[in-house]
This record gives sequence, C-alpha cells and structure tokens, in this order.
Amino acid sequence: MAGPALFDCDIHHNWKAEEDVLHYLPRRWRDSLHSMSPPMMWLQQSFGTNARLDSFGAGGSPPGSSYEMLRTQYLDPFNVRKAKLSFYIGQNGGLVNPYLADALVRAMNDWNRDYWLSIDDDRLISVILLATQDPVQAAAEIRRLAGHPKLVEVLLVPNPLGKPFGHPIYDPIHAAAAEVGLPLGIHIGGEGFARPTLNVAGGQANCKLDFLALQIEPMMHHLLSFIVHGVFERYPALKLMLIEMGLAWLPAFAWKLDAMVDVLRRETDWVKRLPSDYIRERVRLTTQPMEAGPSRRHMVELLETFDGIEDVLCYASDYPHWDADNSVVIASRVPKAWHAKLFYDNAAAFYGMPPLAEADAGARVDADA
Amino acid sequence: MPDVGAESDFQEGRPALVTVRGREVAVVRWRGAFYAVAARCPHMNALLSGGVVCPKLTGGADVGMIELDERVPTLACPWHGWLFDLHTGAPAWDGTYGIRTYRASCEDGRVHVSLDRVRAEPP
Repeated sequence: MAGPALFDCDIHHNWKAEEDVLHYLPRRWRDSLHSMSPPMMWLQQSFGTNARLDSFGAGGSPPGSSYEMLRTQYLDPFNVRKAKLSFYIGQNGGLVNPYLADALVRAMNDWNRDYWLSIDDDRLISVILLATQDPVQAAAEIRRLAGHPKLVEVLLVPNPLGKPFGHPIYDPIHAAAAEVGLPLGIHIGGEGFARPTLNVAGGQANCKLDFLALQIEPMMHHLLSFIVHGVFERYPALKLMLIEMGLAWLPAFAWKLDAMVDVLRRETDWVKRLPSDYIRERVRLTTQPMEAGPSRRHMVELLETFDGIEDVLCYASDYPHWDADNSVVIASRVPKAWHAKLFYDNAAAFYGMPPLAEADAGARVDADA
Repeated sequence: MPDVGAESDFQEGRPALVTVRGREVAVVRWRGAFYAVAARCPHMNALLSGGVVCPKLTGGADVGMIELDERVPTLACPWHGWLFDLHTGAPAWDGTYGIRTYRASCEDGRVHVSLDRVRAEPP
C-alpha cells in the first residue's frame, strides 16, 4: 500500500483480556469492579462493532490488541513512522466513582507502559490517559508518568464533570501539563460516559448518524473554553490536539470568533489575540474523519479560507475503527504541497520531534555507524 | 473461464479473495449462486473480501420502517459499511462509486470467474 510516510496521531490499542490491566488495579477495587467501561446509553453499531471487520485477531481477539496484527496490517504496509497509541478510546475514566476511575486509569497507564511501550519498536508512542473528575489527582498522574520518552501527550476523553476542558476547574491539569511540557489531547466520544444524557445539547443522540455528526459540538466548546478562559495566556507553552471531529467546521467557527472577540472584550479582556491566532499557533486538528465534500476542489478551497491551515492539520487514521481513513486516499484529496507537513512534520513539531527529513538522516547515520 | 477453486472452498455468505489474471476479485456464494466483484472498495480502498453479505436494504418511505429485499444480495465493506449490489455492482447510495462485477459460475464442483463484465439486472 505504501503512500506517504506517516506520523499517525490516532491509533486505538487495546488489551486482549481485561485481566491484562486488572492485575495492576489495587485489590480493593478489583474485588468490586463490575465493568471497566462506564455506563452509557450506547448506540447500535453496524454489524455489532465499531471496528473494521478485518481487524479482529485469530480467535476473535479484540481489534487493536495484537502488536503483530497492528504491525502487519497497518504499520508496515502503510509506511507508518510514528504511531501514537490512544487507548480504545479511553472512556474508562468516566466511571461514576471518581476514586475508582482514577485507580483504573492509573492501572491502564501502567499496563500501557509495561506492555505496549516496552515493545522494541521505535514507532510506538502513546499518551498519559486521565480520569478528570478530580483534577488534582489527574495532575498527580501527569507528574507520575511525565518523563517517559514514549509518552508524548496527556489525553482527555470522558467528561463526567460536564465542563469544557478549558474551564478553570481543570486548572490543575493545565498547570501540570504545562509544567512537564506535554501537550493536551482531546478525543471525541467521551461526552456520554458517566453523563449519559448529556453528550450534546438536546441530550443523547439516537442514531449513529446524529451521534457522529454532532461530535463537533462538544469539541467546539472544549476548544473555545481554552480561549475564553485564557488558558493559552496563562500557560504560554501549552498546546492542544483535537482528535477525530472532522475539519470543515473550523473556518466558519474561527470567522465568528474573530468577528466578535473585540466587541465582547469588556467581558473577556484577557483574550489578547484573535482566536484564530491562538488556534494557528497552539492548536492542531487531526484529519480523520476528513469530509470528502462535493469535490476535492470544494474541500480544499473551504479549508484554505483558514490562513495557514496546512500548518494546523495532522494525519490520523483511527485504525482499527470502522471509519478509519486510508492515507493513500487522503493524499489524493489534499494538495501535494501540504503532504510533508500534514502527514508527518506538523505532528512531529507538535510533539517535539524532528521533521521527517531530519529523522531519516539520523536513521542513516545510525545505520552507517 | 479461469478456475478459482473448488465449490467447497467457498462458504455460504462468506466472501473470499481470489486473483484472476493479476486482478483482485471477491467471490461470494449466496443462496445457490456465485458472484464475483472487484475486490477493492472505491471509497477507501479496503478489501471487500473481508466484508459481510446481506440482503439489500429497501424501503425508507415510512419513518421507522426498514425492509430487506431477500432476492438481492449486497456486499458491505468491512471498514465503513458501504453497500454494493452483487448483481450490478451498484452502490446502495452515491451513484458515482460502483464496483465492477464479473461473470462467476460453478460447474462440476469447480468455481470459475471471467473478467468479462456483467451488468445483470437484479431479479
């Protein structure tokens, strides 16, 4: 398959069996845990799964649970150079009991570090997953794991407190991430966990169509909250990756914010810059699921109305989920001039890694040594 | 017509991937008939041989009613669930993305696929 060299910002990995993780959980929780996943009024899944039907392993092992399958089905044939593993999808911190949620996420982080990140494959990088109900404990989890060379992001998924992630209630998380120099990531899909009636305005979506189409709604709120509450001003180095909500909404959203920010300055004077400037400098969006639009031209022209969009987009496949993108197809939909940045270099810069050309040159030196 | 395997190699309703003159073809055995289509989904290039065979979705005239036409097999892509009519290769929706259909038959316990295109009307 090949295609462009990839820095994939959203691959979902999983355990083969819950026991793989549970033996990291303190005994008192293990004895009373009913389910590792929080309750949600979950939706019907086509063919009974949210995964690609060809991603189940031998014997029906869960999609994303086998490194060998990940390597042979995706990493090798699709020319993946960096693979950011993001759990499946990490909703577990949405358990109603905040103390159990915190303990379970710690266990998942330990499992991830000991199993996946000990695999001898330099492509694999991952995230520090948080349970956010107690932001002070969440901040402690960031500090506990920061410094591991393969943990490159702090990931926020479930939202049990019902506040957008830029709200001041989460300041301990913002402060800890800024202190250790890790960006925050927000992955869609966590809104319904632990608050099963509140995943979007108007309540629970009823079908996958409205559920998926409305994923931009909570993400818009999360993004805007970082601007409105001055998080980017308070923490000048803090960066934010928005994962899996699509792209076409961004230009119109930025136009509206830019048009209103000065008029409303009496209430939000700490927003010093145009919202689009904060986005351009501090925020990155993953590409999947990239809207096809009526034509390639329509989609590219729309995106180009956001100045510098080619510096903002980072490739993600969403492997092994059912709506995963194929990088070869995405490459045909965006200008060639964007390829190096979109498929690799934007993400590398965001996570503090060398651009592809430099990484390849380094690899050649190592091979020659 | 090139021989792609024994009849017993093809399970009912389970697509199989074969290669005919260098071309990837998904072969489906369904209710006594064999169907052959180009194996790559035109949407994201996924292999359709990993997909699911099911009767064609019809209806939609009344909200809340979903009906199936048991006479028409469709093949659902294993990734995004795009559906293709196995008789015609026509997609269940966006008409710009069809797949090629080929002639398939079974004689004396052997399955044959020709790269001649088929445009049969569904029954």
